[in-house]
Amino acid sequence: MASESSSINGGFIVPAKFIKNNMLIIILLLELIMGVILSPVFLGNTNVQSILINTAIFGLLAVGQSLVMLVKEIDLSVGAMMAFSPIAAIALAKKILSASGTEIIMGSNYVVDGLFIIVVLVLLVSALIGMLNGIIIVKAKVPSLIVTLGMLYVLSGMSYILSGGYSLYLTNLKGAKSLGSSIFAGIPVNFILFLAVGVLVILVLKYTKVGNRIYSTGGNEKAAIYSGINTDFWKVMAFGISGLSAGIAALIYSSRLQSVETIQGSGYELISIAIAVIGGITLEGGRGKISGAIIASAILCIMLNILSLVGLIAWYKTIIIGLIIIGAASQHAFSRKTS
Amino acid sequence: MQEPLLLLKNIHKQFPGVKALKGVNFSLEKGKIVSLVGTNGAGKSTLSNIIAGIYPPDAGEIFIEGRNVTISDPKIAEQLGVGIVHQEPTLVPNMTVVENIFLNKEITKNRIVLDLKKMKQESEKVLEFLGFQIDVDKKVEALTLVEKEIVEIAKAMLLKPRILILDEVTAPLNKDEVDHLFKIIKDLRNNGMGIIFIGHKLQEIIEISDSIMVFRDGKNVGELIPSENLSEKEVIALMLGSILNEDLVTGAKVPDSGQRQEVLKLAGLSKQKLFEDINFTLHKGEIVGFAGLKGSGITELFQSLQGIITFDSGEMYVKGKRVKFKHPKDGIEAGIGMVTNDRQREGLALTLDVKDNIAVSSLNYLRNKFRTLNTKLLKDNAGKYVQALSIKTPSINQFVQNLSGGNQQKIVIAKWLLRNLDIILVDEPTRGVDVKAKNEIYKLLINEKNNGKSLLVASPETRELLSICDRILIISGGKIISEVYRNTKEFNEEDILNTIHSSQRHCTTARAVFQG
Amino acid sequence: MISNGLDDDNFKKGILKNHTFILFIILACVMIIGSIFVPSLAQKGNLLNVLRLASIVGLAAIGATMVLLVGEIDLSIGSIMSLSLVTGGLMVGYGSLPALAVTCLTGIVLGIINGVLVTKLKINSLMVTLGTMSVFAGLANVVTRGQSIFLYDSPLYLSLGRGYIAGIPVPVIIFLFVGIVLSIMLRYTKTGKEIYFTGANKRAAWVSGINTDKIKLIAYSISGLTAALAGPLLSSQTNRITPIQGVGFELSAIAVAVLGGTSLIGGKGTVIGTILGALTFQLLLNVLTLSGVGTYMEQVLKGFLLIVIVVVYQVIDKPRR
Repeated sequence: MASESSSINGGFIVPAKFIKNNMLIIILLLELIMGVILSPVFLGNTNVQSILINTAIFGLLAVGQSLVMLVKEIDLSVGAMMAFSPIAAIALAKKILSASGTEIIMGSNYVVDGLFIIVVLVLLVSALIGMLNGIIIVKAKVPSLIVTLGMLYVLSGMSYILSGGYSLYLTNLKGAKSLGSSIFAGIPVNFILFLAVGVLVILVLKYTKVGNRIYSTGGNEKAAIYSGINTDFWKVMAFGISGLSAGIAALIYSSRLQSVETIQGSGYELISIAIAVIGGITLEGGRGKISGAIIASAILCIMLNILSLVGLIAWYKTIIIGLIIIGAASQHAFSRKTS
Repeated sequence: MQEPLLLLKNIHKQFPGVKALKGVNFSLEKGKIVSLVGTNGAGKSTLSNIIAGIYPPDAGEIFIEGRNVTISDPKIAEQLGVGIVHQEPTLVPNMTVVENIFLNKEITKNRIVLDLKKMKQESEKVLEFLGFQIDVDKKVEALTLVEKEIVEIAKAMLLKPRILILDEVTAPLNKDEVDHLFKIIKDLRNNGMGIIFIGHKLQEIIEISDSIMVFRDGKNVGELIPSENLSEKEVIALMLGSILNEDLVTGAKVPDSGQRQEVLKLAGLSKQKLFEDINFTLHKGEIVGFAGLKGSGITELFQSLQGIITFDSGEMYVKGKRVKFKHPKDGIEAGIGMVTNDRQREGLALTLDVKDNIAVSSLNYLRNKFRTLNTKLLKDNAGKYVQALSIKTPSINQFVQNLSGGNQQKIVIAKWLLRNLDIILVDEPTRGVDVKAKNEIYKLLINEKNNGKSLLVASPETRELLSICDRILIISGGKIISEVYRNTKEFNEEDILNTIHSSQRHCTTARAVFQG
Repeated sequence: MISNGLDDDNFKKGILKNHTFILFIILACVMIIGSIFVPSLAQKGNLLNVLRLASIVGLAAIGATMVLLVGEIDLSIGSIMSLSLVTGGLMVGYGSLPALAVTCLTGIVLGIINGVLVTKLKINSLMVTLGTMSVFAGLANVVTRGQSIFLYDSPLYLSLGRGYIAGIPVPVIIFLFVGIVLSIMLRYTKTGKEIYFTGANKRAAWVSGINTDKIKLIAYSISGLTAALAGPLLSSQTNRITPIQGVGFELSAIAVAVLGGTSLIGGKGTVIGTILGALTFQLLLNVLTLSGVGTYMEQVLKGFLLIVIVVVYQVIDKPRR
């Protein structure tokens, strides 16, 4: 068996291969060590929680983005979705509930009621718009880069129109606080939620037909079509899930902040792509693992956190993120060449 | 009488701009192998794609065992018992052999969770039946060409189809592998499977078929029954609709190498794992053929002569001057250009027009004193070669993607002619070119030789080399193992193939994929 | 008989499928319908303003077009604009000309950096320029510590964006000049043909003797230069240079290029198309502004228009099979 023969390799090769296969985990551990060394507050309760919440938000976006990249497309609208989905949901909820006589917005812009329906609407709106991206892309056969770029404009413009540019505050909304700040065994519930979503996606990809559909759609679309797979459907699904995960990320973000900002999430689409690339997902489609993207989101968030703790201003972080994107992408290009 | 396994009545299919099928009738009995032959674009692959549910016919009826069926997608074809190996690769590189074989046919426990163990067993079973052992957990991208082809066949065989369509499956296989595959195909036939076989190698087709359907211009124009007496020539005649102009006339002047000017000399040229210790001299006005199997290193040798790849060691002299090219443009500047075997990938910009494709390598010479392009000169030159090579195009402004394979190939050749290169390397001059255009390309190459050009030609069809080359070098495992001159008694197909295959048997090393 | 010119039949069929022609029609329609409903549209002052703004986004879009033509993409245009503006801004004290020269030089250097990363590291250009977009944006802030640089003392600099020559806004003159030069380059020079060939089929271009790396490098440096040129035109509108001036500009530039018929796959598109694209884009925004739909609605319609146009082009270009 070929798989067994690899373990007979000389003692020299095994550790090199081990490092290569577990690169992301090794980087993560190194970062943790660095964090502990560089800053006394790194392991502090508040700091850990903030890292975990950020990881959950970026990780969700990255998982959705990874699925889209696996089917050889790209989604630039996830950042704008993070603002649009809650703003649209609240506007819709206001309309629906005012029909039954409940006003959910008090004062100028305090949301006071209707948490459940808002949450449901956020999920619905984000998934549907994600799917709409996918439908335009597969039906009109136009590049996803342009369609989702157009959608980015549309969604961020709509967010402004619906909100008038003002923040919506959730401080008086019953349940919103516990939605955003619940903690279980010292770990934010929302982080557990993110891990659950991540593990679910990994399991579904690995142990059900869905994985083969997604990977074959991106890996060799013609082959998939010839095998009778409806690749259009799976692309639409990937975009739908990407939208949905942006919606969930928005819920975590806003419930934590206790407000919905018109500009929240702006630029996050690029970070989600960066994380996916660091995690080993490539633009060629059909390559890479979701687990990689999940670890990469932690890597990125911890790194940004350490940089803040050592007092680096935001501008340098931007530079470093850029360098990491180039570095990660060139590493894939290099390993592809040598393999 | 028993109903035929598959019956097609009056099938029509039109693509935008092309009538691919114009009323095809076809029947396939149980336990028969029917071959489809015809020039490119005759409709063979369109017909098989219709049977496999890739696209529906515009008109006509399909019956399977007497039942009128509509095959609207590949899944339905599968359920009706149709298995197909497509001409183009249909495997997903980053997925394992098992995942590919079971793509969209996965076995599940309780309808959700994949039954990985069972799928693995089943895949191994199919491969074993085909007489091959391939690690089914390996990713497809790590397989050899032969192994990939076998996995394609295994994929089609998985659900034990009643009708099996094999579209150009023998291309990557060597003679032994083809023989082995044919044995399996015959076994399947004897067990009652109906098999549709599509191919270009007529010898193979005559060998394997119970009947040969000949296609021309979207219609089936005749059926031939293979027998001792049936010759390839008869099949070709029916394919072309008229008797092929007898064998080509070549330049036929045997080169008198003593007096001829040397244009290219190689001394001990080597590149690791690809070719080794290549020594040879090319003269002005000579066509030298390179015969060898796929993977024998000829393509890479040619590439290194233009600088598309670089050789590791050895010496290369162009007109007496020692050279080593690092970039394709270095080779062109020294007067060497390659017509690669994949013109769409390496030769042409399909979305640009004829004139730009012809002129692309000669732009330096098409400029005026302001160093901008002399468009009139460019058009005139492009027009000149379009006419000289009788490239069939409505105008020099036509996009290359709208031309046929033969005309596209001529454009690649015209590109080097306009640049006025002395040495042209042609890898598979007639790949994907129909029989009629083939002859034109042969004439063209001979004509250039007579104009004083020197050509190296590689081809998997020995016959092609025999008809145009002055001498042929036989390559195996990256080495020149023999050289035969025109007008000697070894200058024939049988001897050359024997030389290739006997050397092949001596050095069967890494490619040992056979069981029995 | 082989004809050397466009044969009539082909021409008639061609023109209906010609993106430039379609765009021209759209532009005319927007103009006519717009001026019926919004009379102030056709006023000279307003039209000059439209032209001026179209020139600024158009300049950056021409650079984007070059990069798209060679089959790559440049997401760093906006950041190049910001960074080259602020490095030039550091020189404002020495006069407008040094400032402008440094701005242009920075743009070219940043473009070359992109080009080198794409060709030497052989990384997907989307990733490279996504990375440099972030790096350059960060650097722009670092250079000025996030502060603005005011231009009140630099009349020459300001006149670049606000001045007129013979009644024509200076940005329009610069835009047309760059457009004409690059249009001639694409159509009538060896480099131009090689740009198209590289974009249409990189491998074939390389085998045909084209130095594809050099061609890509040229495209990226042009993109860097045009982004840098657009910067001062924009900042002189607001009298100040800010380190975030170019944010989001890359998307507008690419949108305009695509609107002008440039293919994202490479090898297809023209500068004329991009110029028309810029005019259409800006005129439409102007119609919306004048009809009072509000800035945010503009954003929405911008995105909507982009999607619609690409879909329309796709329908027109539907391949034969």
